[in-house]
Amino acid sequence: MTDGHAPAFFSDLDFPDQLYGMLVRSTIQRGYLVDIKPPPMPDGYRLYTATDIPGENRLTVTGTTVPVFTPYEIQYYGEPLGILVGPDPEKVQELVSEVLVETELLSPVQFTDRFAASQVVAKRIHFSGNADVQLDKAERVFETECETPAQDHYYTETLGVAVSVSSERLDIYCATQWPHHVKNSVSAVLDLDPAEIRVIPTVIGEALDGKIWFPSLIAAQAALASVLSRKPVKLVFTRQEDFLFSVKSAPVRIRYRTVLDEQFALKAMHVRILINAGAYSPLIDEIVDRMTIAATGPYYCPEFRIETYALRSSLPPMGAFSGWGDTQVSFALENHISRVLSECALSPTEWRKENLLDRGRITLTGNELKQSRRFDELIDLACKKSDFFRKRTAYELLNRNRTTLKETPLRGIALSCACQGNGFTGKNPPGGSYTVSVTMDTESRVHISANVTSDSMRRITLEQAATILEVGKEAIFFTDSSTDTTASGGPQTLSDKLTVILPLVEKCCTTIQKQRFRNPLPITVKKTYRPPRSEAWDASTLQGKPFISTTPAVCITEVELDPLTWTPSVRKAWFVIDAGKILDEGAVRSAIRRSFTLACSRSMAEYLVIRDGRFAPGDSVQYDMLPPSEMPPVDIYFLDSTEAPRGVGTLAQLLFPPAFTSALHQIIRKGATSLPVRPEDIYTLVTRKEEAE
Amino acid sequence: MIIPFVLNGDLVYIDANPGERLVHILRRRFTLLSAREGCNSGRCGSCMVLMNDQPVPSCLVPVFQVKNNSVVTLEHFSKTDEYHDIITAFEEAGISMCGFCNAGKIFITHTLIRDNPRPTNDEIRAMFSGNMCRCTDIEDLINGVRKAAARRRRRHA
Repeated sequence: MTDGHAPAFFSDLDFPDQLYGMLVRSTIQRGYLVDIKPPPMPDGYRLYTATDIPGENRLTVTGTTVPVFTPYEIQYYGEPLGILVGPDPEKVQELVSEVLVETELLSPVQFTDRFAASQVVAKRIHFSGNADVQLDKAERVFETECETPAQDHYYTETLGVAVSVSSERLDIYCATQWPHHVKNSVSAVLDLDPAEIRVIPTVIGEALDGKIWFPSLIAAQAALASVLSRKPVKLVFTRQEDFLFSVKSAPVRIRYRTVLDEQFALKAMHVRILINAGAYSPLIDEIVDRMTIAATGPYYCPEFRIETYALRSSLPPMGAFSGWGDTQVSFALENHISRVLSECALSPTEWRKENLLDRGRITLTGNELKQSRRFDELIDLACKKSDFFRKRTAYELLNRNRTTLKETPLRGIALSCACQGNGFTGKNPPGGSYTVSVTMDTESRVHISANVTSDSMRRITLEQAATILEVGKEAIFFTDSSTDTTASGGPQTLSDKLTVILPLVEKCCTTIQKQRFRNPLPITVKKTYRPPRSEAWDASTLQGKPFISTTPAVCITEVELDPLTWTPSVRKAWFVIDAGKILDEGAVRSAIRRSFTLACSRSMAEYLVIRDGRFAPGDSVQYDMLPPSEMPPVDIYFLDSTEAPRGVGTLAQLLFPPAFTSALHQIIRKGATSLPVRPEDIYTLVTRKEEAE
Repeated sequence: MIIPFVLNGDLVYIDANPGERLVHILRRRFTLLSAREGCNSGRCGSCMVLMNDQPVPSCLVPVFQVKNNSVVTLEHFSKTDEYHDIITAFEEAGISMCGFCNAGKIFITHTLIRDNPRPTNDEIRAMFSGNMCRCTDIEDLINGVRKAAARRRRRHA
């Protein structure tokens, strides 16, 4: 491990006289809490609930609040009601199972197409022209409805926190993307001076934007027990707790209705996005905004109406997954476009080239594109590398002439296009407030203070700093990243690392390099990110430039269906990307392949639905994930570019799922509109089609 | 139940509930933290140890099964040349890993290249089917294993 990461994992930490904590949770989906009756407690065991909180019983995240322990109204199954602590973890678990929770039942709030205004926690209506009129008077309206269920982040180290307490201060060790939020939350909940709290981030792993605010909640719960018992407390979720009660990606239902003009160009589009926000969803405003502005994707559509609603429901908190909803929208949109092209017998490549946004055209946020997105080059290269035209024609002939699915080979190939947005400028606080500082000490060693937690990002940052400052990599160190030594800032999300933090480090290093032979060492340079005025984002009207940069890319996927088991398998996927200047090709390729692994697992395996307010399967062991060892082959190509490096971390999740379902569509002539696509789903689609015929 | 076994080269005796999982014993009684609790179902590889020279997920092993057997954890294994072959090769391959399931990756690699000095890509993939990890790219891992195998072959030549 690189320095600045010690200690590595909170779950490895043990303190003298430490207590173990476990949360007491609600056993109903919705209702009122009447009483909590703990069993007879042995010496050293205590239960703390909402009434023990000295400060605010709430966590505030971008204007939304979440209770630390529910005081009265239970909003979801598994909601934390208190924390039981004691010296023996097995005994703690046993006592928690014996706590009696008295409740009064209320009807759960359901997620349905018809909803009351009071259920809406966030909404956006964004339009241009009058799409509804165009749809009403059109002879032919194309319609597709897609659904993407929740997805678990599945962290190998389950969520948790370790808290040590002394007379002077509280030290909190946790894996978080937002250490300063942990500090401020604990300060508010315990009514403590923030100076008495230090948050030491531990290794975060592949956070997938699921560790933005949730670690703050767990930290507040454990810190309460630690302060009240005056002992260190370790709260580590069991695998089962982590699976059932941690934040998931929000389930989404998206309906596209479009009209084409005489030349088959997009004329009008109506999009309705319903997001199941769960009982609490602190990041929902940003998710709603990002899904709304992603609705027309990389395409130009002169008239559109996008309605996005986030609905409260009696489910555990829903939050961000990498992409913040972009991936769900991309799946629905590209799926829809592929259906339209198939029904109209249009070329998937030529139509896209005609309808993709490019230089000079106005985006859905009223922003004129100043640079070419080079989609023509991307599509041409992807087609050439995958032999797309020959395969598509051959498979089309085979599939059209087939009378039964026993005639092999059952193959399909399809293409999808998308742009990954990097560095969302509509963050709250604006720009996300990122600060980086770099110091060159008297022995020419370089100390970087930045919230850079990922290994590959550290490698790239190190590489760049070494090049600019003309020093060896061994002379560069990341300083301790605790809240005592890093400037207060926003969360470190996937796309901000390369787009915001790396340029700040580069600027600091360039400034030091200019000064180091003129001014005495040490030199410290601090830079804070501020979005340029010309690229200002108006969050109230969704106008302006929403991202610092975008990464255009194309994916082609070839799929084969097993004629006996109807199990789909990916023969190969090809990605062609305009990622700007590539700083570390190995790291970039790894990032894309990791995103591809997630996308494949999402598309073919990870199945998580909700039944009676609980996730099903109700057991993490049953949650099917494709192990990395089963990943299909993938080829990745980049266009040459001298432009600033751009993020690639979610591209495969944007591109692969729709390409996969569209390729399946070519085989079975029926579109899958939900993920994952399992053999039983294909069976249902095929038999429904046969019945209809 | 008193259970004698060889732990990292030393004969130890423990008084334990025979059904207790080996990973708990290693972490709580011996502070051997390289075996980590991840999935508790034998599919993530975080708790991997060598038992009689074979990689096993210690979260699935009831402690009575180690009676009179040998267990090696990463703490002990990291002092060997075999470990250094692997970790150096992984660094050369630029493998990005958070480290939580290192025990799994390293012990699987070790036994694979010990039993098969020239593994194919498919053989490497198959061996890692019990190593569920969101943060490491399998292609990088394959590259790292091949480099580790080459290092070990050179050292044994």
